[in-house]
Amino acid sequence: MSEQPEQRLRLRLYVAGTTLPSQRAQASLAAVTSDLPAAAVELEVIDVIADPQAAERDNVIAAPLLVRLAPGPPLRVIGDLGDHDHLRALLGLAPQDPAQKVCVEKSNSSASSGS
Amino acid sequence: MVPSDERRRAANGRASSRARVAPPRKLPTGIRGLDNVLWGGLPEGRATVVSGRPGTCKTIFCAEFLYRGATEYGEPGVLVTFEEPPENLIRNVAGFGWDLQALVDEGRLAIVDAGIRQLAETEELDEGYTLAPVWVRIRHAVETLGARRVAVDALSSVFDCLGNRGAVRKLFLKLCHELGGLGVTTLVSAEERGAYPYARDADIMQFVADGLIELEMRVAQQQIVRSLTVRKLRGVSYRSGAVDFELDEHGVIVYPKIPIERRMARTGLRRRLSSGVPDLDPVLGGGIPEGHVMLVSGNTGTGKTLLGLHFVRAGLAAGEPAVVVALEESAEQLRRTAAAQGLALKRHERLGRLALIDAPLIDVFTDKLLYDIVNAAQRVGARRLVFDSLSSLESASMNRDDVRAFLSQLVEFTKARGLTSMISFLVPEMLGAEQGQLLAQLRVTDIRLSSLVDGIILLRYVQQGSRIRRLLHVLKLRASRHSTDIFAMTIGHGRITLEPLGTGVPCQPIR
Repeated sequence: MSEQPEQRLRLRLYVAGTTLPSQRAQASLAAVTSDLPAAAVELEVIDVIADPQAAERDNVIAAPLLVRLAPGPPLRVIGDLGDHDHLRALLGLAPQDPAQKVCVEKSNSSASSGS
Repeated sequence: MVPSDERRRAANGRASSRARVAPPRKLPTGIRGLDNVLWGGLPEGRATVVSGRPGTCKTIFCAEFLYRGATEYGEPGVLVTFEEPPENLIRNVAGFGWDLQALVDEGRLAIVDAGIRQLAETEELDEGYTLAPVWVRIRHAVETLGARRVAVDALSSVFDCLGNRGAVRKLFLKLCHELGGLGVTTLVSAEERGAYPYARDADIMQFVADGLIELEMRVAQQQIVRSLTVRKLRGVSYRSGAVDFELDEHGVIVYPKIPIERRMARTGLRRRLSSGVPDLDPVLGGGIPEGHVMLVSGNTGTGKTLLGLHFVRAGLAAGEPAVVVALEESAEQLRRTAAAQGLALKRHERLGRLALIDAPLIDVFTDKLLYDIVNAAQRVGARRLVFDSLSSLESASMNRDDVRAFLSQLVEFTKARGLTSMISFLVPEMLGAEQGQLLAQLRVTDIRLSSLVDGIILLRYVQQGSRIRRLLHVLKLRASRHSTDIFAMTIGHGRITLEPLGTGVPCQPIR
């Protein structure tokens, strides 16, 4: 499978400082894109606290905010992105194989009951 | 409220040897009339919520707060808009002559577009987000401009768009608690909604904010009557009660109630003012005692307006300027009526001895009317006031309690200034009163008004033989002797004359 340049997944994640939701969102993104070759994903993380002008320029209201710049139409998702299946579906990524999925669900439920 | 204030003051007094905690200072909004109601302005460094249903001008209050700050007080401001796109907002207020775009270009205003429009295109995956970016942007704008004012428009509309209501509340708390730390005074507009679950969010906003101003509007007969009520203003005093406001070509204009003055002007009850009707003065024991408020009550056409005009004429002849409020007819019509009585109102108006106030009969703004009267009385140095008529206020979409409240304020004002006044009141039921029933004919409303006024002159029609006659008698005159006789009143040739009714021909009620 040869990578077309326009099919590279270009993402931008806006976070507000190093809060728990920021960390969770970054971890989730890393998890769902872990099967892809590094060259297939471009992720830019912008901390709006460090760069308020970027937040102003891009009209950011909520964080974490994930913006898919390419491919396809622009997509904006807010939340800590804990639901990996949903996130994969939104980003047009293949579902995870069932064996791993069970693990993720377990870790998810334990995380949510702890919060 | 008052006792606790006094206690606080007393506590302050005791602690005065140590460091004294100063109450919050006031920041003038610059909105015409509003600072009068707020006794100086909003509490400085605090957040005040301005709430109301759609169409109550919340956004305009926000925009004017910033516009006045930037243009009249040299205080840069930040406008945070959650609902209207900035370009719409700028266009919407351009009609008031406010050029917000110029202020933005000059660095005196920043607009933070927290538009919820884009939230419609945003997928809410979970509730693990905050609105921290909005806060970060506001803070950045405040620091960049050195802003002293922030107005947040339609924060509550975010509640509709986001599942995570806690995030919205947190943002609001941050606005309330942390903007003050930046030296900023904040106005937050919030939609007022009755239904759950919004009511709870609105409640929280109202509890947390340091100030709360409620805007209301009601659709009257021909126009929208707007009013505002200051519900709280933490740590500082303000004027309570609903006050009218309206929009004119320059923006919001609030008509604060005239201050209730307990002070009484030094008037001499022994000094009598001619009523302008020579026959009436002896009936009143020599004239109207100075500073008295006379209610002239009667049916239509009985001569209430004419009595008022004669009262004014006598005043002008004695060098006593007057204010005439004409609600029953237009000012122009009244000038003609007066001219027919040989009184050239126009000439006295030109000479600054007479002020004529007319207001549209429907949808009268009473607070504005009071202001007009106060200003006119000051302008001409009035000694006499004619108000024709109080009952037209009742037909102008006011209820009787409002009329009574208005009269009460008007009387306070005339007493404080020592004005002698004649206020007419139309009583339709008075038609055809029998002699024996004269007192019983007084309506409940009359009785209630009666305690506010010093004297009552009753006018009515009766049938005597083949003639319809006007009757006059003085029902009440505080602190004075007066005749209790019933007189027949004749109007003609620019004169009003009274004669004893006599006992010859019995009077009949008109059927």
